[in-house]
Amino acid sequence: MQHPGPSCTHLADLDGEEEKEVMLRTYKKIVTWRLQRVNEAVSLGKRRRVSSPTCGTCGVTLSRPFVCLSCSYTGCWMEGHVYGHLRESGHGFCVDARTGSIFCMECDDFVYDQSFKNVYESLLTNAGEKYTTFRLSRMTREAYKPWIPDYKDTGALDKSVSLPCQGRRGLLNLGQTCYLNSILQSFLANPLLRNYFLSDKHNFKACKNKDCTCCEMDKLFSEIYSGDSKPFGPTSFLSTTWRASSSSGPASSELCAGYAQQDAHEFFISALNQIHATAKGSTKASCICIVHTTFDGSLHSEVRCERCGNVNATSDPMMDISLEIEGKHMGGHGGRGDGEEATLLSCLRRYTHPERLGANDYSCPKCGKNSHASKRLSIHRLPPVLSFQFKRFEHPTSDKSSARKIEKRVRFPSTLNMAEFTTLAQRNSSEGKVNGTSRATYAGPASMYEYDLFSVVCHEGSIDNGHYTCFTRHQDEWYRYDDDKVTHSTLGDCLASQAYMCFYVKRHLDYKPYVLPSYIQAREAEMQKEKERELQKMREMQAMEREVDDELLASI
Amino acid sequence: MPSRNDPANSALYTQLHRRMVESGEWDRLSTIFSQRLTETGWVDDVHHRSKEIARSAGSEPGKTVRQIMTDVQEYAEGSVPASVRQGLMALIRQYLDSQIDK
Repeated sequence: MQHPGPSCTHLADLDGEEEKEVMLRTYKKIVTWRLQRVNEAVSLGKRRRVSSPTCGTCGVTLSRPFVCLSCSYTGCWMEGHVYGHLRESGHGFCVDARTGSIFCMECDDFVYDQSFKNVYESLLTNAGEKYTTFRLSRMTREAYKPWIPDYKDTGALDKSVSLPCQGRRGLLNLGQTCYLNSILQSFLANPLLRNYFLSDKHNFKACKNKDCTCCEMDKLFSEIYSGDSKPFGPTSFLSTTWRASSSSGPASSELCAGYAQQDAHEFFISALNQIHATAKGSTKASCICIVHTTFDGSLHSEVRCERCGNVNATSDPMMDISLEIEGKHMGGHGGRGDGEEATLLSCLRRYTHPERLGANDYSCPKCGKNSHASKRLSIHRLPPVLSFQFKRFEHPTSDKSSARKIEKRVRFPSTLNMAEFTTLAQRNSSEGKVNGTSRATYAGPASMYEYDLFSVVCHEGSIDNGHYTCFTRHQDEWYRYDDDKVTHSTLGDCLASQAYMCFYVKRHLDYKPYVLPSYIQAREAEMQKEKERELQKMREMQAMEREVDDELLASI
Repeated sequence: MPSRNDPANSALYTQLHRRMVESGEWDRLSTIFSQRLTETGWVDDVHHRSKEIARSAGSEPGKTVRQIMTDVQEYAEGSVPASVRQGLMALIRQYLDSQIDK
């Protein structure tokens, strides 16, 4: 993430000087020491006793040392000892070993400097790679290569026009279309979708698909980033959605056609299906289209037969996670009563908690008998963008009038660590219980499981007369979208809202060696063949012309 | 409650503190503590307040991290949920009891 804070002139003045080089080397040593310590503490299970630095002023052992960048002093922050050291010694800067943040004495504040930031990020990435191995092949991860533009890229960059990197525009309500507007705003704030469409991966002028929702996304992004701030009416998006859903069967046409209030989550799922269907590289299995590379994860389900102990495991793709707000068996599970407030994490814990199936619900494929069984869900592969739905609307019977809305507040955090809900973590904890040890398979650094909230879709009001609004984040600022009205908001307001859907993006995206997608390979092979065919035709034409010429010459 | 600044306690405190940090117990407890504070919304609440303090102060000359910390410290310490506080105290007590015989 880019920090907009003012840069420190005292550090910038030292650019290119020997003093800064020395400080950068010290900085590198401190950060490496800290990362090594954190990762080895977890990966080695029981940690060996390691000595820690003590405060140069009060002598207390430091769990979070601040280190002077000019000498070997270490000290504590909360008691102000490191501050006192800088003041007395006249040394300029110190670093927080835990976060890598730099404090400048003259600015009397924490400061941002590009060269230190680069060192920190590359050390963090290296540590992430070093402490992760693939479970099956025991291989280490691919080394991260930063993108350095070659002469072709530089040429293309020189020719391109710079646009503002944020676009904010309200969307007009086209007759109870707040469900659509809110979901579209969450798409617009999605960094993966934004990068795809703004880098011209699907150009609506070059696309030949009929009723193409991908083209509608491309047009929407162009409108939002056009620099115009007047509210925009997504009419063509809506009509394409109608046409695309009516052509895919009568059941789904009921879903979106007409001017009725719709469910935002249903629209979200149908929009994803339509974008997937019209995107490049779209396939039935292990699809690499933009929708699947963004939202697709996999859910692991284990059913254990209580008769013979046989475990039946399956993995299914998942595009989002729908969570129950209220437990079915209150007080029964894990002793948590209904007095406890609902949080996203408590909902996830319930979601991944073993569930006992009735005696007649499961027939074991191994012992062939019906028996009680326990079923447990976990997340096998985490997607780059995690989307949650809180099931606020209950339909106990098919009769529409019996539907009710659960108004209960669900607390959700701005950052989320998904480690405990993964299949790996579940296996570790159940193996730990069996063997009586805490020695578990090391699941890699925490940075692999960290997510940041970037959008929330809220539902206000009753089930049949409600209104959808949306919050989205740009860097560290929150904005609220109520159809055509866009207002600057705060993190506090966003987190206090009645969330219906929450969207989180992975803080450190996975990477692998670049492979040319098969559809591009196929297209290039086709173009090559086409060229050869044309060449062949030209040769034939030339040969014919030569024959004609020869004949003409001969006849003279 | 005995103060750690009391000279009679400070030597014991320093020693126990070192033992906790060097055995990794300190890091383990801080991880649990910060997870609980995140789940109960305390971290986001303090983040939100600090940010709004910085915003209302404007950019010229603005507030430094040290000033924001002074402004928010009392509220932050006072708003730690009782259940989290008691849970952590119990864990620390458990650790200390396990250390007494050694």
